[in-house]
Amino acid sequence: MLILTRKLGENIRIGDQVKITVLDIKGGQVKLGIDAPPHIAVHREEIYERIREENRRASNVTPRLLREVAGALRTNKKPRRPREGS
Amino acid sequence: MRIRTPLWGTLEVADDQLVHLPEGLVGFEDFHRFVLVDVAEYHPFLWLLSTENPSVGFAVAEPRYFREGTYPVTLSATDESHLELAAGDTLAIFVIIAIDAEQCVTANLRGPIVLNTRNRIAKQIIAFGTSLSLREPIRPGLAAPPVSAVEPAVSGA
Repeated sequence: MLILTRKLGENIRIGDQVKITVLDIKGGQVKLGIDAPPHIAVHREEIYERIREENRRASNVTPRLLREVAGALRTNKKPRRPREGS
Repeated sequence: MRIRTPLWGTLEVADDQLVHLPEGLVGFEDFHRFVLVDVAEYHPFLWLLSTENPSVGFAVAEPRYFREGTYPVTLSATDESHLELAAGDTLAIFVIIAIDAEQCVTANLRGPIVLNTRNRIAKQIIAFGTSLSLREPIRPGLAAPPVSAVEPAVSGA
């Protein structure tokens, strides 16, 4: 891994199209500004983690459970709501 | 194309049921070839079955069962290139379903599967938007089949 030290307001260039600027440093947080063309997707790492976790959860659904739940929905039972915070 | 499955025996699969995920799903990058199994008893859901490992499958559905109105999915130029999107292509969008121990049905609206219906290439994309939930509950009432013609009243009774 390449490690660079940057001061407030300084930049990092990745290729000729991506520029990352250190905008603010406060406590344990760094605010970064990212200039990138539209074909480069920029996401926080956490969203990948959360989608991976959700895919893993979804992979636990079995055809048998799905058939049971779909049957209950078709008979127009009120769908159960997830508990708060889930 | 025929595939053997543990649950349904040998399935005859039409070309328009194939789904090719060149990058796999996030966390399931090793599985690329799927079929959409459309079984009446699963409606309104479909079963996205791996043809590489038939014990791997996901329940998917159209987003309208979880979200009213428009579903703001924006493709990046990279997404478009992965899907080999060309003028005139039609995209289908599916959301992946999770069901918890209490049988609450939710869909991941942040990570939909976008399918190019022309070449059957699909990709799980990351949808922007703070209003999109990873666990959006199913909308009530929609899963029920449309009410068929009202029974004619018995005349002269």
